[in-house]
Amino acid sequence: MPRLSRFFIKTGMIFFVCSLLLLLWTAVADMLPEVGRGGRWMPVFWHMLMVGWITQIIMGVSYWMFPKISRDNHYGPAWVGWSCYGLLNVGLILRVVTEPWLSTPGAVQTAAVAGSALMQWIAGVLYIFMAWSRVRGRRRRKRKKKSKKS
Amino acid sequence: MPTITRWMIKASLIYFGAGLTMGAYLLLNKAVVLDPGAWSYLGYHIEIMIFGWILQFVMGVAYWIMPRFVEGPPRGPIWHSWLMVGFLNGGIWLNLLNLSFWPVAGLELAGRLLEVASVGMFVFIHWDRIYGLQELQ
Repeated sequence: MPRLSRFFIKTGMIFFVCSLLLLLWTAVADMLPEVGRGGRWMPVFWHMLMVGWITQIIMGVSYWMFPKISRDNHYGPAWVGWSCYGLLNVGLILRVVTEPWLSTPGAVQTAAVAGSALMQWIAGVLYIFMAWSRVRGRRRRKRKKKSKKS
Repeated sequence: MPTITRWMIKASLIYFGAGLTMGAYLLLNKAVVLDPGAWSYLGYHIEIMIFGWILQFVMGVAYWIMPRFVEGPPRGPIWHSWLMVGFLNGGIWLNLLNLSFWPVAGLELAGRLLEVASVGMFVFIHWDRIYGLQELQ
């Protein structure tokens, strides 16, 4: 398993646990009115689960298992994969720590949430770019082999 | 990678790009209100990300990776698989249409029915492909 896949999958597992702990926290917060509404954490919970866990697992496993580009170049440029990983996780963490407090006006929260949106979008675009060229059938690989022989 | 898988994964990547852009726009609007009507895109974002991206990607990869049949077509009759893809994408588009300019009564129900039919086809296609080596011997 390539190193980047291990990072994606292990970070995904951490987000999985954290998202369920957060769900537990929202249930507690709903019971204690002095703590505040648990509902304001729900968008963060859903995104930790769907982006932090499921999307990240998909990215990690596909990076590892999709057909390789060539014998010498298995996964494409490493910086694309690592940038995707970094931007996705920094963007998601920024969202987690700032979004629930957006109702409190503040330039820092606003900039962090806007930055988070941009980072996650770039990470997604990088993943699409990375995965697209590796989605292919056996026939194309055979043709390549033939053309190498000729 | 079989043709069905390539179609499903590439379609799911297109959905991912669209859903991701909508999600980023929604989050940006949460920080700075650029468009007061932006929240009307939330339904599209959820439908596209769950059914178009995650579900379609997982189904496409499972179709490729699960054990193949030893006799006959390796992954079962191809038309079953195309039906599965057609039902899923037809269902997604009916639901997207229902959310947009063409909210006709029963459109959402038809969309959900197609999605259920697609998942049913998925289970039907893959059920017998889930076997161990002992069962072959």
